[in-house]
Amino acid sequence: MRRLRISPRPDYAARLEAIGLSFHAWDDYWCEEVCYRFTSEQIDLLEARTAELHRMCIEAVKHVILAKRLGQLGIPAAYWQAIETSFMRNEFSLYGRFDLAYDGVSEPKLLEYNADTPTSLLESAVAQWYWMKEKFPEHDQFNSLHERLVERWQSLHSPDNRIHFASLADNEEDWVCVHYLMDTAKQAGFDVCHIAIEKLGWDRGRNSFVDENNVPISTLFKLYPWEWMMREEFGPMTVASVTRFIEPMWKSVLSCKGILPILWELYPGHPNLLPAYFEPGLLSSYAKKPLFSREGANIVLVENGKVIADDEGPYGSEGYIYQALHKLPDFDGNYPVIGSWIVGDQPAGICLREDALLVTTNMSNFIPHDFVRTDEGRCWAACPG
Amino acid sequence: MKHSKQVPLILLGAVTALTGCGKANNVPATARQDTYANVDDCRKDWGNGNWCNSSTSSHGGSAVYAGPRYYWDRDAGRAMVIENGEARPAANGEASRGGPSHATGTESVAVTRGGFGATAHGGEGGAHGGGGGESGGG
Repeated sequence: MRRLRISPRPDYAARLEAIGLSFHAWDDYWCEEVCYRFTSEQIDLLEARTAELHRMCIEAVKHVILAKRLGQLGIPAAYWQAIETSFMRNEFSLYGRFDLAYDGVSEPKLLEYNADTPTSLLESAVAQWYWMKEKFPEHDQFNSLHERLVERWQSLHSPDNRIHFASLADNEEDWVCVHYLMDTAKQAGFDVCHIAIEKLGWDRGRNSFVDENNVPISTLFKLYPWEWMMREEFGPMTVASVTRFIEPMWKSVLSCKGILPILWELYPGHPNLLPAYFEPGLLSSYAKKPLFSREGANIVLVENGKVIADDEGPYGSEGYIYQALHKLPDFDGNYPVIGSWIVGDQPAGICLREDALLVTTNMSNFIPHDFVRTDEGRCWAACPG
Repeated sequence: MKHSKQVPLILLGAVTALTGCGKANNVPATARQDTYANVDDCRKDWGNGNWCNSSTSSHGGSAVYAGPRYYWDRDAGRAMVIENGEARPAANGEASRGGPSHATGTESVAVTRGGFGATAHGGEGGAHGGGGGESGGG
């Protein structure tokens, strides 16, 4: 795993905009002046560990439900039965993204799992794919996201063959992510349409959410987290509604940071987990994380009792967990986090976010990657271009 | 090979192909809806359509059974039932005019909206400093 300085495509901005990545320049989000290059062995390892983590997470959900520990995860009691039902019915899940710390040498470590509303999808599935095809067409990339998303949608049954997609009004990044998913669902044969989450309607007579034309919504993909939905006015309606949600309610168990100490309890000493606890005081060097937080907000890193990094934010009222401090690998003063994607139950690719700080936030850069077969001995350290 | 063979896009980048669920018809935003103490009474008035499901009263308390949303079309002189976002004349067996209504109440109802989004709009900042509000993703 190497961080390489390369020349960007001269027309990369136009190329990104042509595929719909409208926000690539905000805070220099998309960065192709560098890339990360892996070996095929490293990619095989990431793929295998991602599959293993996914399997462990499913077991963890089962444990949390059977052991009646949903309350410990800050999930309101009104939703416990619905979560159990959703899980036991194996309600359709589209995707998720593990955030891993990995240096190319040691075992990757799970930092957290964005199981409910992961973004960075268009850039992972499409933008970096085109980057590789244009810059290093002889190389490979761990990125079958597009094909797997279309394939996954094809396994879904929607009674009216339609999927509504909801995201926040006036949020460009979410709009782009959701419209990319709409694209993949349309390619899978569904009718698709978008609605701002604020404009969703509730029809009490039908027990159904409805769109702006008051058409009942049978299947709703929502890029809006369950932990927010459960605490808002329409939250209670989701329990008995005939509308089916993607991601399903059972994914709320995995998107809570409380799943990290649960995993450590179930798989103590696992090489891809970090020690994690609900109780403070068991670790001298740790990351203090709110049960619910987004994009690094309110995370505090403590080393030997001293704060070494933190990020402000509005989260933490539901409680915290304490995860053993594992500093991100240092590549020339940059700290990458690997996002490893799951589509359905299959690993589907990776993306890298990089920051000059130890806490990865929504200001971090997206860096494309590729990999080479080391037995072919080509372009390992650097390639022209 | 671990990458997709092709990544065709049919919506993104082609603005004209984008699909919204925007309001497009002339169905009134507010309509009437009858509520019943039990499903049988509801069926007597409204037949076997996709309604008369149990729900909690808007005033709290016991369950009620609600018929379809409908309104009176003055020009046509008939009741119009709103179904799947479209208005159609009430059919035989629905809202039988002149017959006794079994409803326990009639409400002037609109589909309620705005029940999601409050948390995001209560937050601060935005994705990449220019997103215009909190992101629902991460």
